[in-house]
Amino acid sequence: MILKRLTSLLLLIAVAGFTSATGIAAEESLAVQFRRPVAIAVSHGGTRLAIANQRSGTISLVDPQKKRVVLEAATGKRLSDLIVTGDTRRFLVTDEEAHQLIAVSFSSTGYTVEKRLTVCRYPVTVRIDNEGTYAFVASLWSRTVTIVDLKSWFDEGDKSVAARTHQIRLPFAPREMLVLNVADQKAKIPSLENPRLKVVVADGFGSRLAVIDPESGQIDSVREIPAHAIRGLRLHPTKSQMVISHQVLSRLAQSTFDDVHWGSLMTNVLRSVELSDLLDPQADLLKHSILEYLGGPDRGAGDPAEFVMRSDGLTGIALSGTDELILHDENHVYSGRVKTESYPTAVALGTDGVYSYVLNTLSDSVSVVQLAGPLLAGTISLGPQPDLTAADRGERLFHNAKLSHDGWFSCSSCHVQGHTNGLLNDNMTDGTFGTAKRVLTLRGVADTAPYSWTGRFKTLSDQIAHSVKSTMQGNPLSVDETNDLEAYMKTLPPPPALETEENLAVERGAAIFEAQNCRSCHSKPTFTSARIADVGLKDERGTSKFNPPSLRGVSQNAPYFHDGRARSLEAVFTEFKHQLNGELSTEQLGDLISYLNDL
Amino acid sequence: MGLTTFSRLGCVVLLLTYGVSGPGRLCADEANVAASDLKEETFGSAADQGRLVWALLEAIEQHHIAPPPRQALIRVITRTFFRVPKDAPDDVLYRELLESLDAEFLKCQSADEMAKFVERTECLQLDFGRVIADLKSGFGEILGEFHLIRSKDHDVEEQFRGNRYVGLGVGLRMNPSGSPSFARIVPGSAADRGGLVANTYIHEIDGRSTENLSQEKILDLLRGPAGSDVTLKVSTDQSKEQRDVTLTRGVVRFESLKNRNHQSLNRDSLRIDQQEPIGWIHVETINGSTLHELRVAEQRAKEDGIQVLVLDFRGNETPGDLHQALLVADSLLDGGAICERIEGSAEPKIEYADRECLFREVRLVVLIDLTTGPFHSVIAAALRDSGRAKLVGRSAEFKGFISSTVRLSGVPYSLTMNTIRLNRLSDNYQWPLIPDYSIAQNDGVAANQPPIPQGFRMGNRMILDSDLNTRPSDVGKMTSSIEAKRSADSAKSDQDPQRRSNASEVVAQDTPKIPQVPKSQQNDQLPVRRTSLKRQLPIEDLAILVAMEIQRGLPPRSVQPVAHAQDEQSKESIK
Repeated sequence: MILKRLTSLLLLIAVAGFTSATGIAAEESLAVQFRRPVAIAVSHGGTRLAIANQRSGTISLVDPQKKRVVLEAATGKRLSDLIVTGDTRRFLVTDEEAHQLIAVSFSSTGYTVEKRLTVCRYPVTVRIDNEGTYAFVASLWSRTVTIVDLKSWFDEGDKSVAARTHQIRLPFAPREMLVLNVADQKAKIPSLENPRLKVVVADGFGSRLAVIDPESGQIDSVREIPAHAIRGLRLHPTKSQMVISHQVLSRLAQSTFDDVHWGSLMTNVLRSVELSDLLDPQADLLKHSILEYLGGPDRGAGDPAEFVMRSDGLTGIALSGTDELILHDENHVYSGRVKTESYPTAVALGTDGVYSYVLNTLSDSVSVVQLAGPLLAGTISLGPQPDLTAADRGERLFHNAKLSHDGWFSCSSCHVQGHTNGLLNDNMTDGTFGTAKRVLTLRGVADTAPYSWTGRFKTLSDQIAHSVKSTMQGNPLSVDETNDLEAYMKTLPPPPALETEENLAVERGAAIFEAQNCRSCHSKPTFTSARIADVGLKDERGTSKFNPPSLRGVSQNAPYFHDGRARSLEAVFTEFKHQLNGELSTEQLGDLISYLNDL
Repeated sequence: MGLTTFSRLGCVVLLLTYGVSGPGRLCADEANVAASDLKEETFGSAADQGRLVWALLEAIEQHHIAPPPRQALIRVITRTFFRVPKDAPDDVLYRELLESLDAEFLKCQSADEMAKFVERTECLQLDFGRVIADLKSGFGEILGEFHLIRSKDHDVEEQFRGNRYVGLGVGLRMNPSGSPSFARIVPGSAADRGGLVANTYIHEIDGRSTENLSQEKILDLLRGPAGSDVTLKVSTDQSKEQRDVTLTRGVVRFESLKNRNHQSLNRDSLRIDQQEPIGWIHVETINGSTLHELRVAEQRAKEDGIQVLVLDFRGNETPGDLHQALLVADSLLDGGAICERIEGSAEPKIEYADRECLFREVRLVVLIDLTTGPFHSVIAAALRDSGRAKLVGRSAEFKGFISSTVRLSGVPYSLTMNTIRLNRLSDNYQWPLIPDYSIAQNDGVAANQPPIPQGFRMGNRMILDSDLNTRPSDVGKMTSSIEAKRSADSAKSDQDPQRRSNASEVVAQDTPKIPQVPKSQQNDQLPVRRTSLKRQLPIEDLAILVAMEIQRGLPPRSVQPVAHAQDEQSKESIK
């Protein structure tokens, strides 16, 4: 008991700003809390697993042999990623609430939070190059990659690093990243100008891949692939391909039983693209791209997340929708599945290649999988959880592909992280097929009734029940399940505004918003209304009356309109003249967009 | 298409029995009324007939590609219910009576009003069978295509389209004397698992004697939801003693893709022989599973080292599905447009393919002929027009009109009619689909067809033009008489100027489909290298020659688009 108190105290101190703490938390002393682990890496020369916990803001250090937590370190507010540096006892973690990159090092007796660096808002991924020269931090909602010069950060202090840190703004919200050492690609691609390092950045929700050049700070290319929910990027052991885990939503397919059952609507895949194509901005990325289908009819493999590839090509992919690790051999042939616990999103490969460690995000545990077999070799709890609330149960359902027929996809397949993949889906929510509609974000969905594009559903629970039964072709939900899902969705905050700086342009834009009477449909505070309005845009069956979507976080919701016909907010006004009373000058348009970007 | 679909269905029903799975789950469109729940056995009263014609009016006006005015539809209804005797004088009395009936029918504004009017009007003929027959012929005349089917059969058709048939997996044969029998047992089906063999006689179904029962009734008794049991009293020629067997109905699945030897792609290679890196996939039908099967086949093609793939689109006997055809076209195209679709009152819409592309690095040859169905034609046209594939064979029949089956509101029937028009997105071509490479016919009909590739080495010998100029009569000798008939028909129809000028008049033909060459006869065709060319269908040789030419990277010999007279006409009428 004393030990427990002591530990809590120490954790508190660390949060309060002291940079060093000691003490090993025995298993029984672990606090009762939700951890929501989101990142796992092998550390300490293979003898430990380092795990970043999102909800508790802690790092769990696990002994995989003894299958127990040896230390839980209070590190930040809401951790989103963790990576082990060249010194395998020093980690870099990102905190998406404090908007920080944090360096933490562990000794045999304790841990030290070495440094904190403020980066662009909502950092979700951190990667480093092989030499440990740079850290790359992807910030989701601020659509930025921050490049941190690690040497000056560690050796010369914060002032120096600020000068040597720069940001690259992307045209999409980034999440996954892969750092490529491309020196050996120079021969294949003569046009490669800075042939040392490139960073591949994937869209956190939709279909885009960017290649950035950290040395020049430029974006080499931004390309779209038939993909969404990109949850894993890896270099193939042959080092000639990059492998991506993602989902594919067909635009032509419909949410019928047949299209869901046979995998025509949604597929779960690993895609390989040639590095030479990836690095050449002029090349067609898909020309030599190879798809490997995960799962199939009668047994889907919903929501593939992170994966590991052994040097012999054996690949283990965490299926976050079906709570499994699926294995494909070097010939891309299915070789087995192992049941894990709830919502496995990340996986690490043991240094010996015998075991892989699957991180179960919603059950706060690690499944140890022996790859030969494959079979489950054990489960490690990261600590006790409190009782689940309705929203917690809803979160589990939201990410569970079992809600759909045969486990092909979950709610979060299209509503990635509760947001949207930005794609079109032809379902019966609008009452007709042949009229594919843009997937709406569920962030900020509370208090925006009625629901669906046509405003057909008066309550969120009606919409949920319909979507599961019809769009997902799943078994009907019980009332309790529907309520749980609704409770969870109502906890989702609106997407954060792209711009947060109050300035004169925003003020002038607000005045234009008023003058144009935008609020008659997009009324404060939710910036929507219960109206069903005809704004002169028809779908394929002639329907032109739609419920105005909320404008909170509208800067994050491109493309716009029911069929995504406007690629940008600018296009909404310049190309489609959306409900404007008269022309806007270029300056006025800029002000209006500044205002919308600030919502 | 509807009748052919229906007759095809009938033909398949001879092979299999299906049941209807539970409502909702298998229902593709939740807006559909669960019409099959209505009891068509008891359907047919005067009021029912009134409701039926009202439902027909609504469905035609809402879904037909070019609905005639209501007056024209009402005229058909009037003349169905009031038949002027053939020997009756063409006098004013009848005309006036018909006109007044027209006016009364026109006044009806709902199913109930129509039902009441039919019920209380005494002069109407209300023999349900004859009414149905007259509606079919009357509407057929003005709509081009009109087929009423029981919604129950529509359900079965939808199961076909999804490749999720529920039943026992037996082929039913009605025997003129004696009990019906199972002519075929589908491997892996409930009947197979229950130990039934071909030529088993059925004496009772769930305690009911099959004596004097119609085929339709027997099928109805054999059908049922997945998981339900049926008990049969059966015997065979070998063991004449009748015994009871209980089977559980389940899903029976079929492969829509086969290789050249009509073998499953799961078991057999795609390659046409050991030497050439040429694959062959016979796409027997386009249904829900075809796209999935193509994905599996792509993996197989990689293992087999296939560089050129022949997609055999001939002989499509089972109902297909436009939606699935578009998905398949999408899957084989690397972006670009598929076709233009015109449907009901909706704006014309161009369907686009995404960039995901199966067999991306494999080049395609598509084999078509008169037996190539509408859905295969749509895919073949899209592949050809985008430059993805070369077409080989003979012209397909499809004229650009797709029929679909619509459930009628409030009655246990569904209506098949033309609902969609598809235009090719080619400057030079519309329908029918004409191959890039064709076999020269004996009389110069194909004079403006591309020249036949000639002088290619195949195995140890040179293939010369003379090898290919096989006449239809020789084809007949080489293959079954059925194939000969088909070739002769096609030659005849190509030559018939009357038919040519009518080619633009649309609409799928109602000619009965010739059954496929029995597989037993096809199976003994050996791969090209090991057999004399004379034993092959020349059209298949041509496909292989074209594939070889493509594989060897010889200069393309495809002919510049030639404006065929037929093309011009069909373009005018369709555009």
